[in-house]
Amino acid sequence: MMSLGFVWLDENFQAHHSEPGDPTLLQWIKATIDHLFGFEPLVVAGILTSLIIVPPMLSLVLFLSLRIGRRSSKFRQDSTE
Amino acid sequence: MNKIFYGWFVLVAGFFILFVSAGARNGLGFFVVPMTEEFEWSRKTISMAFGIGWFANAITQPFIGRLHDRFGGRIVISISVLIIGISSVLLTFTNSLWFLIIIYGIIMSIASGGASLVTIHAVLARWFHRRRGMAISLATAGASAGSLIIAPFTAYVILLLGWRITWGVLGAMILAVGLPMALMVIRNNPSETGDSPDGDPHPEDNTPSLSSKSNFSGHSVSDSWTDALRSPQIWQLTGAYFVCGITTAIISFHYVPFALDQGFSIATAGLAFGLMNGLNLVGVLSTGFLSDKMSRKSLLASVYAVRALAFVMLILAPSIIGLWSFAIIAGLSWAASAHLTSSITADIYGLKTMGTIVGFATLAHQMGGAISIYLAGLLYDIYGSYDVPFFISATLLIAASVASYLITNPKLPKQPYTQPVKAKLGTGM
Repeated sequence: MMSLGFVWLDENFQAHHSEPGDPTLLQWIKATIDHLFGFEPLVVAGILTSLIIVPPMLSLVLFLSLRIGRRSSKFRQDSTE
Repeated sequence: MNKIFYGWFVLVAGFFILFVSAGARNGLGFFVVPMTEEFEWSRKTISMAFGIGWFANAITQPFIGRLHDRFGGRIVISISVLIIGISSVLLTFTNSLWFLIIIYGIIMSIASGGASLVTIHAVLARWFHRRRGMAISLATAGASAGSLIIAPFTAYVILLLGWRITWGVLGAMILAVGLPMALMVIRNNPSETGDSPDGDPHPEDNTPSLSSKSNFSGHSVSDSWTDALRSPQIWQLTGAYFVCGITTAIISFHYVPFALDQGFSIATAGLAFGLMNGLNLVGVLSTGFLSDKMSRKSLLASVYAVRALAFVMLILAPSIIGLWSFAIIAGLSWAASAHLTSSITADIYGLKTMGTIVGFATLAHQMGGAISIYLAGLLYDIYGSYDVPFFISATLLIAASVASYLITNPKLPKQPYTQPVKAKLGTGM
């Protein structure tokens, strides 16, 4: 199956579709993002990275703080008993 | 303070794991041009490496699902995320085609199956019973949101900093977000935190063992995935999901060139494609909420029927109307089939072998995608337009819709889901 796949893909995989990551499309995406934010490219990259990283990190912090809070309250409960 | 049901944290973790892993994988196409230019490879050569990745990912899905069923989601997802992250970072050092084939085509692609819809859905199906459709769809939305946000981010960073640094950035993101989520938050089932599915109170007089079938409740619980293969429902679901793979791959690979062929600018094509991706989220979430309130098989049949309508619009409607109506209609139905297929699988076959069975269906989905990319291109070359592949897609989708509708009795089990009480109280929230 795999060897058949190799031959088949090598010859025909991209028979007719857009160039993956078409340079024009790439440039258009970059221009659109630059236009949306209106900052220097490196600043925009930083903002985009933050948009991706910050929500999950905040969720993780919330999770950990709730867990620590719960454990400490349970510890206090056990101590008083 | 009321205890927060731990399943919500598992759901959030599943969302973000899919967000980074699927998002990074869907930006792959943007690496093709810069990498081929640097190494002077042909497009066919680099396509072969990525094609091997597609096949490796597809073929190993049932085995990954089996690993999930045997060892649990936490360990499989954690190891997979670790491998995906390290592989992405290693791709920074790509110096030959073989390096790319081994690291991306084999290692990273196989690991991607372990941090995919297959494993995340199987974990969530254990945590949520009454709200299974909603929970699984929310996690699926993570993959959609990742594609929507991380794919353009990938394109942006490649142009700004080059493809090598971009691989490193993506790898770091996967390790920073996915790994702690998988290791610290994911738990295999509610008994590990002393919870019941959906956070419901424990049944007072019911403390079954872990091996009890009631813990993996479904309409026809399978002890072995081979039992499932002898029932018609799996073939109806898998056949329909095969068609889903065919039609979504055609959309992914051929929609933009179709738009360009019709004389639209790259900006219009990109905007329409972006709209489709955005509506994909709406479709996933709305069908997820609906699926807990109405028959899932009818909903799945509707999703395929709606997608068939989108292809019909593309063939029959004048170009501008066809382009945008397709973007709207197909966008709403694009990814909705994934979570519905997983939920129906859990409803029918239970949870014990769910990973393997969904992995089997995903194998069919991916194979359908690989075949259709090639065939649609071939038919375009023969007929000079996309009418024939679009017509075939619409016909197959109608067949998938009928097959889904005829699935017998995929109702939620009427008995309350029961869970072993291994009272590790205090570990939950």
